[in-house]
Amino acid sequence: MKQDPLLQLQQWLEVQKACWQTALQSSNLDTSQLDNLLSACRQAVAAHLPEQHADIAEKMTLQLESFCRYGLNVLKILNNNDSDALQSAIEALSQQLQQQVNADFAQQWSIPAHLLQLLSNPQAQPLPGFSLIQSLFTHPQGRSQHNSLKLLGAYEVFGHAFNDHLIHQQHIIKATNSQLFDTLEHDSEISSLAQLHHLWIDAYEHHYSLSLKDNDYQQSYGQLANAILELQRQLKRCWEEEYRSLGLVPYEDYRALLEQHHTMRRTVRTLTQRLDNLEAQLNADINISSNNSSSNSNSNSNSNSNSNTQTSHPPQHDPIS
Amino acid sequence: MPFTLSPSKISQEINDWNRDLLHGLSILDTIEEIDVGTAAADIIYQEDRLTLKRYTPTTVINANAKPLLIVYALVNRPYILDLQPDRSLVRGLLQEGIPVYLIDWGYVQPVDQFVDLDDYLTGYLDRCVTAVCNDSHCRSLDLLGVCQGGVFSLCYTALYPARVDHLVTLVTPVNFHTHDNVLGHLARTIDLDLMLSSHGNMPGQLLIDAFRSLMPTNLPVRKQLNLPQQLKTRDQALNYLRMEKWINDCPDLAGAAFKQFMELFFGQNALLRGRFQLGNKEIDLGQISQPILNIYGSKDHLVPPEASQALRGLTNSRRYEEIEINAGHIGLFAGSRSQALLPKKIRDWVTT
Repeated sequence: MKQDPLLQLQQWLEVQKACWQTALQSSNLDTSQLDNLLSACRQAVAAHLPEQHADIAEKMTLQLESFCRYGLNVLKILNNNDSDALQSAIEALSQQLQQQVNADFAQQWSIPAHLLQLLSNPQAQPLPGFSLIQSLFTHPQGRSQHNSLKLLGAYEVFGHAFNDHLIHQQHIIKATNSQLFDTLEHDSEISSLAQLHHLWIDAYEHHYSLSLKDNDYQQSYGQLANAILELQRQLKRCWEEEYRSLGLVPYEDYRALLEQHHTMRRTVRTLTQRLDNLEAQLNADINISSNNSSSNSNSNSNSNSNSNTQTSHPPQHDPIS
Repeated sequence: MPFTLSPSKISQEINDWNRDLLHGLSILDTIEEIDVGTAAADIIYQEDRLTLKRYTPTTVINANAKPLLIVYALVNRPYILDLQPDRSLVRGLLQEGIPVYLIDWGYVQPVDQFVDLDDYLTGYLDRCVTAVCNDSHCRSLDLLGVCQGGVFSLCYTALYPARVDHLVTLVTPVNFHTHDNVLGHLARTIDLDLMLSSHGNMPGQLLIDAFRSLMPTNLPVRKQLNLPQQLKTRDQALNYLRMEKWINDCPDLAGAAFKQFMELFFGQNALLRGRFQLGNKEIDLGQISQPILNIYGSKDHLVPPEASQALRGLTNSRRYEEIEINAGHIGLFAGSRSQALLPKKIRDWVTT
């Protein structure tokens, strides 16, 4: 029988308390039991909660994991009586939060996981070659060498744009850390981890928003976004060729059909509307002439109930006129 | 050294935080459904992806009120206007005796990638106006445009002035080139043809991420860190979850319409010129003589006040008024302060 995930989390809380007790007394921590239990809890929670909450639960437990790890890090630093405790704690925090920001950035632009690793590494080197792209270039194996060359070109442009963007990111992080040190040394008293997190976020957001307004950053953002899109397009082109060779309908052909379909629908709608308008006009003319003939034959009558009913509806108009 | 963190403090803080999180998860466990947009309504017209709703009146209809058609943006979903019973502009308007109609543009599909602004304005929107007029036996109506829907409402009123009596624009961008419009600056660096040849339509997820990227740590880190505080009670959790659902519910945008919108408004800042070409039609804001009520938020970072204020003087409106509300882009129609203020202001405007 499956165990209640909330009960499991309760157990995890107890184990954690014990772990913290040990941590308070020793600098040498074994967190494996804590890690295993948290991982089991996360899976159990995701499976147990309704699907719509699974994502939030996942984010919360991941954040919890990250927060705990950071707490343990700080604890180790403090237990070691490190004279540069503040600096070490901030560097550790900065690295950890930057990883989260990078993960979000990579998700936004669908950057492959192995490139994400480079993003996370502040000492990132210029990009190494993709083995897949290199193999496409050196061993076309029936693929068009022209397409492979274009793909390789797109990859190189992406590499430059990516490295350029990294420089901006590193600049923001450096300014953030520097501001945080200043704040801590002169103004604030830090008595909680959450407070430290919030200070870092405030500093990061401040420097990030300054960068956003900077023309160089905007250009770098655009270059990277366009380089990723171009890379995606070239990869798609390679697939298109494969589709064609297998006798399948490639996306470009499907798109052309969609465009024709849209044009035809618009034409049909326009013509239908014109016909409706003509019909309405015809009916109105018939009504007027029949009213005229009836008023001629009953010149003493003042009844006009039909025309009142008619005016209660708005006139149709031709949208293309 | 002001670094007064101690091992025991850290241990206590993490334990407290975890306990709150555990409590939050147990609250989540009690919530089966996140209900949004629950005000009673009938669908009176449907076409492709869109549905046109007529809300059921909750009080006697104000004799001076014409039908009010709400034109929401293509970005995100219109149920933010009726997020929950106590945060609902729609219910507020109904309570003031206004007959309310709303266009729900629906979820764009890959097949819609060639639908352009002309299709939206002279096609879908115009047919919705006709349907509302038929339904309410009126020749004309009042328009309430929200954000991008406000841009549509301005263009529509300029094209068909006889069909609109009053115009209310809510958080509507008019000047897309204000210095604080960061999103606009970033958007202009993107190659739109490349974007659409890669995706066909503009993916909604990319838009969500673009909004998030304006504050990259506030949302993923600070928000998640504060999450247990949002889940203390079931009601609090539902408030939070409804808003989360809305934030993450962004349909794709029809490729051709997106490109045209970006080029015309973000690129050329066409509204500011007052007169411009849309497809084979000329839009002249000078054709608008209707009373205009222009409402914007002083803390709006997506459509800064300056971007909305630019509407003043661009039309020939016989009565133009601006209202600045101390709120952000969403808070303006979902916040409690505006709930008390907006429906009455709008009622007063459209009934005089």
